[in-house]
Amino acid sequence: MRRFLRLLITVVVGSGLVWQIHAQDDQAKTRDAEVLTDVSGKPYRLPGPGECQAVVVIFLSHDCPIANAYAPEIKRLCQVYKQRGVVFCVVYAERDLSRETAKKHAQEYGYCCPVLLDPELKLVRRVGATKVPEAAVLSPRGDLLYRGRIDDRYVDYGQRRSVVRSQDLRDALDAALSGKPVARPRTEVIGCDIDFGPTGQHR
Amino acid sequence: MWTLLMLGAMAAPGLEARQQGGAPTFCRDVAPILFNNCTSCHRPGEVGPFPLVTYEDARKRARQLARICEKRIMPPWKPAAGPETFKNARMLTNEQIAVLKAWAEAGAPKGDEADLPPPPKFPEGWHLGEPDLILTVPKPFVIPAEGPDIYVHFVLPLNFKEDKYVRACQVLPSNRRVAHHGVPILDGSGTARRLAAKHGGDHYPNFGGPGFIPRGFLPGYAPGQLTKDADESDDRGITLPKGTDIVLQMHYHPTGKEETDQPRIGLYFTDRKPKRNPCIIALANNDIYIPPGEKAFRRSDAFRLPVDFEVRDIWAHMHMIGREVRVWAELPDGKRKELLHIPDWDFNWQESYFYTEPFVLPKGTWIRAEFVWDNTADNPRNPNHPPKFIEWGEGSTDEMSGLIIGGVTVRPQDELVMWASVIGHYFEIENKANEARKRREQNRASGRR
Ligand code: HEC
Repeated sequence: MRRFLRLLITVVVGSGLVWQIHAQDDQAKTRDAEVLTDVSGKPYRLPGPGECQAVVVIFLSHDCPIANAYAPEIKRLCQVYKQRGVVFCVVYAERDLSRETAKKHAQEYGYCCPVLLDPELKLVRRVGATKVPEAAVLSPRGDLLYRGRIDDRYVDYGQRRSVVRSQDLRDALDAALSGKPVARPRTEVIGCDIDFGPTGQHR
Repeated sequence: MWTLLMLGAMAAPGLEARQQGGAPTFCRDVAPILFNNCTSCHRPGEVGPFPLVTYEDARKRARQLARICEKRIMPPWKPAAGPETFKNARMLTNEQIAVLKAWAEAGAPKGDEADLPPPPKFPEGWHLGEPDLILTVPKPFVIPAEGPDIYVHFVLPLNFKEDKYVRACQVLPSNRRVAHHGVPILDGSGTARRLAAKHGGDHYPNFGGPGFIPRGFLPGYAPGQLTKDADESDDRGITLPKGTDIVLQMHYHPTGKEETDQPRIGLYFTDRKPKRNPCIIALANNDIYIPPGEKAFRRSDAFRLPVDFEVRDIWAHMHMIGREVRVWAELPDGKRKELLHIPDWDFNWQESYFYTEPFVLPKGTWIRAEFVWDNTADNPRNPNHPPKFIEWGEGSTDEMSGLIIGGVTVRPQDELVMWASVIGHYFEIENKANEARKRREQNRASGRR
């Protein structure tokens, strides 16, 4: 009986341990994807529970005209939602972008939020982004609540609306902040393809 | 797809190479297409947002290049193919597009560097050397980070005491990343000075025409265009009559960050008096009052040539909800000749189109233009959502129509008759629009629409 009990304890504790190790592994992976360096070379970890209400990641490239045209809107969104506890960061989804070019570009466009580099496309893959400027809304725990366009300003390449009709990122954020499900959690982005390398491997 | 590819391969040079080597490669097949059609704009400092020079430049966006060329968004060129071709046409052939597609689908192989042609060279600065006179816009002009495209007219008084003859002219923006076009317009009326003064300085906005009837134009700026010298044997110099002001119309496209530009005009003079001076024909219909929801609002205008006229270039103008422009000539013998058709108007890309072969239209020819607007919610460029009444005006949310045909009278002595006729037509356009406006107001007052 005692032996059985000891066995039971070992099994329970053991499996608990194993479970714990697994969980740690998973978190470590996620966290790994979420630690990027910013344009000044400092590591940056996406904020977690207790640190924000939501995280918005916007993938950019320094030379996509559509992504660049969005700079003023990204800055506006960042200002508005900062007050509601949303952390914005813009992430260069470019494999071969030098830190100097990124830094210069971020200064020129005046981004007022953390500006990160993702040369290995870790966060890009974790979120499943394929285009710039693609936006992702993450819960503080890291769940993907929205992924897609910022708004419907571009109907197609070379066709831009004069008046925006659908504020997809704002709508997603408003829903997320009031604890409601996001009505359209995925939308299609008009922009430039993220370059996954010569083999074009997505994952 | 395969038939397309095969057709492409059959018509394009390098068929054998491709059959031997399989998929097209960057060095052999793609680089020549990009160098000849894209690099003029897509290189550092130019209007294209990224360079298309190296293998990496092209590889990382191979699919996008194919997609955008297939939709004929790039290279930017709006006129549909017609009987006349244009010297400044920017167009890929179906075969070239098929090569770009096949290359992207094959994973964008680089190929053998031995096949790579040298990258194209483009002249920098003043193409023809130091100009005889440089006119500089007095202050850098600020282009905001966002918003509609900007049309601005800079007034550059010449204050010449005598007529001068121009053999060449170059407009040189200081910031070509934002400049879509620039045209020096000649004003002998002093109107531009007054408009600028009213606006408090050396320039005025006008999202459309310059606000006066141009006395003529000088060669302007378009991305990648070269400056040409009037050939000694040819009679194409341009007279700058004394008292003329140059009004530089610039078209800027905001890019997401604030930019500035301070363009210059370089003038090259000659003592040789041009045998014939450029003349213009201006067509327009200002009776524009487009109800919301109107899918195809049409207006037309017509001008009868008082003398034989040699047509050299053509330029059309509408604003955001313009859809289509068609221009044709009805010759005295009843024949019809298409001059220009833009089936999918895009305000962002408008420029002068230069006919490859200038042609003569005889006295008595009717030149007709039809403009079509789409004021529905389906038109993404509609500045109002929901759509509203849109009227004639010079603001970016108003509409205009305009057409300018450039050329020379066949006989030099006909210039004055031509000019008088153009001015006369201008007043007709104004009168027609005023009468229509009055009618509308009367109808409104009596409760009808
Ligand atoms: C007359 C100048 C010019 C030429 C020639 C030109 N481009 Fe462009 N291209 C531009 C400009 C300007 C833009 C940016 C458009 C914008 O900001 O709306 C652009 C954008 C693009 C884009 C991005 C499209 C988008 O909407 O994001 C691609 C891809 C492209 N060009 C490919 C090409 C290719 C391929 C060629 C040659 C076959 C070419 N271009 C020739 C001026 C040019």
